[in-house]
Amino acid sequence: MIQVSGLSKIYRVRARQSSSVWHSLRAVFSREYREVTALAGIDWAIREGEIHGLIGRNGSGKSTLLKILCGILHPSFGSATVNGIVPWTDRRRHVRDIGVVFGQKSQLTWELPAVDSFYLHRSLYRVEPAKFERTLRFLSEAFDAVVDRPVRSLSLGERMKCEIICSLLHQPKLLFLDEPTIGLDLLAKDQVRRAIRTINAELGTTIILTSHDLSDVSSVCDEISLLDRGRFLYRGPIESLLGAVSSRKLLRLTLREPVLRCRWEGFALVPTGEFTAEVELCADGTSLQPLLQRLLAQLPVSDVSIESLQLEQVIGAIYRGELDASHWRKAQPAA
Amino acid sequence: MSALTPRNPSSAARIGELLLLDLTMKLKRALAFRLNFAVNLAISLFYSLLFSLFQFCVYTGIHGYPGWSAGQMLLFQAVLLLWTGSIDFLFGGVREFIDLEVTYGNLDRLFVWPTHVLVSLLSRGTNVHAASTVLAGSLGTAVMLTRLGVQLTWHKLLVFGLFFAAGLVFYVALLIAYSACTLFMVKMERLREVFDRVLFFASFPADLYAGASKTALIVGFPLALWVYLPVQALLGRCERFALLSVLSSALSFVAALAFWQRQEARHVSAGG
Repeated sequence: MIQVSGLSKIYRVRARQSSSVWHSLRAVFSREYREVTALAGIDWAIREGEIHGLIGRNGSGKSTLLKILCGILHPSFGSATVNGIVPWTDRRRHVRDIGVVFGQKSQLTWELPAVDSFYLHRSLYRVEPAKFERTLRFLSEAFDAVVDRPVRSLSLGERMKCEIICSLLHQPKLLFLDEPTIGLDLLAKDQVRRAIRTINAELGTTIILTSHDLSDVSSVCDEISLLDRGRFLYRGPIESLLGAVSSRKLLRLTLREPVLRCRWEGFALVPTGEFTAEVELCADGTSLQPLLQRLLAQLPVSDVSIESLQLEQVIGAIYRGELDASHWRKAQPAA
Repeated sequence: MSALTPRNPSSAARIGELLLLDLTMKLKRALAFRLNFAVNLAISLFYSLLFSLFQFCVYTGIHGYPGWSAGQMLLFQAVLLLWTGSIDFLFGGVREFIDLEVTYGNLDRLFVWPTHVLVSLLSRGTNVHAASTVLAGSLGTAVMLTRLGVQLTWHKLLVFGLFFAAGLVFYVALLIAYSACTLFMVKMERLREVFDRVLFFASFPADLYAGASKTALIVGFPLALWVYLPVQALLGRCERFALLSVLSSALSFVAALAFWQRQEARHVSAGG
């Protein structure tokens, strides 16, 4: 479905050394530029029918990659095909087979019911009326969406559902969802996630999801790609990523004395309350038992729970440089 | 580039279809706020009439324009109303639209529509409130033609239509150039005013300008296509060399398209 090879994007941006008036005046006559590498020769492959999570920090290159794959931006080097089409050279043919939702940019007309924007969309994509009505009915039910009230009177969650419906009306083979749950409450998030899974299962739509909310990613995606500074740190199933750190455990402790008065030799207690703390252990199955015995001997523990690291914690540790990303490169499947 | 050229009938039909869609949406939006719609219709017509009144005051103040009787001048003003109403009706919101889209990084959504970006852009700027000006201009033109006793022949109507259409093509070329400039400058502000000031020259008969300026206005930068030449066509006093303005308009369109393509390839959208 998506094949990316050696893809790079380099932006030329103005170099500002200072925010002083003198520098601003000087910049009128002589302006310096620097090059920023948003994507550094990446390779990527996505299978048909997959729900794939694309995650990364702000400025990691996610949006640039999505925009290149949508045909909005031209890459500096490298190649990419989506459904066998080069997006930026044959954009109009390409976009007929994709749907795009930018979480912070609306495609609906604010003053009118969403259904009016849907009919505009039908005309734009020249969707056959009967097929359009069938799809609209199916999607409205799948999302349990309100489509006949002016968009301005909808809640953020309802509006987002309508945005996703709008992008699916021409039944694209591939759907890009850029932060679709941004600003939504828990119930709305859950509805959107369920609908994403339904769309994937019923229509076979391949979905690329970017989100800073890792619970979105872990609840709907089969596989993830972790992008940082224009390079992939990891590509593969979430389980493999978590499996590779299965020896790392998170202990949540409730103590009988204030945390600040307690000390556990060789380990850093992270207070989460006056009497509660967390501590991360790196241990394989054989060495956990003596560690716990030491813990119970040295600390006034009233309760303890042991958890495997969650996706958020693993990704956070990679960003902070506490986990070496090369650790997973051996485990990751060939793209 | 070929997808946008007037030689491609399916593309022209597509532009018409999208303009109609945009008009329908704007009309629905306008009717959602009925009182605001009625007030805007009246204000739009009032502003257009105000300029015609101003020009008529200038005309009487300087004891007429060379070669133009009062009746012919009123016909000129009626066609001017028709012209300003038409471009406002079809493309009145294009400049504001691209300014906002580029500034806030929303232009991306036009790139994911299955049409040429320019087709999407040019068909998103209709202004339903200008309908009153188009109606007033059409009515005024019909009345003045009758009062002047102008015999309308097929030939006159054909030449009028040719100049009017070529004028639209030239206006679209200027809009494309403006949009391409916006892509790399982002903030147009005063340049937008310059655009309006230049267009102001088309509001007077080209006979007011001296030799070389008049030729430049007809052939070099054919602003005369908008009102002056169509009126001359209706009055049956069009000079042959005026047809060069049609060629000039087509060349401007091709040049503007090339400029746009160049800027589009360098487009870097704002924001994430």
